[in-house]
Amino acid sequence: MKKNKLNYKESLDELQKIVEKIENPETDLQDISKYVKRASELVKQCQEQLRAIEREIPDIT
Amino acid sequence: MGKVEKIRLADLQEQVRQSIEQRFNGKYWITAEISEIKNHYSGHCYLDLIDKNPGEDAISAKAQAIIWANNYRMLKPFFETTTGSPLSKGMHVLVYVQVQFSSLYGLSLVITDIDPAFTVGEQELLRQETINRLKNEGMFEMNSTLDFPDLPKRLAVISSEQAAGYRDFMKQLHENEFGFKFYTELFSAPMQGITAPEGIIEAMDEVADRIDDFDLLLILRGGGAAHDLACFDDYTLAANIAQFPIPVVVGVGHDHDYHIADMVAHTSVKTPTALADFIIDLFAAEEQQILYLTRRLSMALQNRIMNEQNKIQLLEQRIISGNPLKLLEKGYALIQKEGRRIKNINEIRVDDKIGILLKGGQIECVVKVISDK
Repeated sequence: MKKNKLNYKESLDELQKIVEKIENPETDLQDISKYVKRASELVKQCQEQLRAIEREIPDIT
Repeated sequence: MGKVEKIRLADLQEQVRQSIEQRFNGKYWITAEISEIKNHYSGHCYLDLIDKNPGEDAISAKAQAIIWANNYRMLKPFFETTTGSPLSKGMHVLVYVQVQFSSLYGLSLVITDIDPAFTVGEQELLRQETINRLKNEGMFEMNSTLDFPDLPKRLAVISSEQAAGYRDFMKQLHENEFGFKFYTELFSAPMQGITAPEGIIEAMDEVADRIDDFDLLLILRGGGAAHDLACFDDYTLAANIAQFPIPVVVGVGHDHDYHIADMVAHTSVKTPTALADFIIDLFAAEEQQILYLTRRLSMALQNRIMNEQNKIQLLEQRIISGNPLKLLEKGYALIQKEGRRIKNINEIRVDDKIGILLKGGQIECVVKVISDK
């Protein structure tokens, strides 16, 4: 499975859009469970990026 | 050789002294530049004052000057609180002097007063010139137009290791109450005095060599006295900050002063502690934003479920109240023909077989008479 690694702002933007979709009464009920699943992934990703310090740290030479 | 009148050096000097003291018997306000300054352990201050013709670099006049300890004790703090810097080399001053000549020490000027406002004015003028130059060269806004990283975690820090400000910053940042983690790397540099600009620029070059390793450059000092911050008005330092390839955040000042380094940096805060808070706040704000979104999400979800339930209930209600059998309960009757409900007299002809549905059962009828209204 290809997993697109979004940067923090992209994840947050997508999350924002999903929340708006769920808030929109026109959104089809069928799609909502799909959105909720994606939203929880995104929340997790954002939290991780806030909290974890990735090892992009310099190699000290 | 004829008889020449001779006088002793001491006599000549004495005559010079007398004529000088006669001619210059008052006190004079003079402007000059300080080219050397020495604080003697006895509390006296010895200076070399120089003057240059406007627009020229060559010295056109030079004199020794002294501030006696009893005066210096009062003038020094007064000058420093007004100008924000101690008397130092290169500074332009307006001083109140008495001319003194000694056979042994030559000419000297005894300074009895200083007007710090003049020095402030000169410094301000110089600052303004530097600002204008940076603006004309298109550098003034350069760093502040860089995109600020979303989550700046890799921080290059220029400071001096012993500085209280650096320790405050490290403690505040790494021991933040939210538990956010940061990577910091110190690039040591002198943070005050005339060597500071050059030292800071060298450290900046080191950071620039590994620019991909960092999100932000922080320049910070703090603690100690408010003076000696003039280096943060230095043109070359400002130009380097302005052109730095990643955003620079400066925290060097005290509450009351704002330097050119602050102006050209992407962001400036007052103290190293404030700088740590600034970064932590960025993360805290993002986390709040995420929490807010998850809350909105669950609210929206709840609302949606409630809405759908309401819709179902409403439909149910309509089905119940719209059920014609309900009407029969109330005493109304329904007419059917060939299994269809009849709503209009026009649908019925004489001799049609119709059914009448009413509470309790159905009656089969044949139509005999139709009368229009």
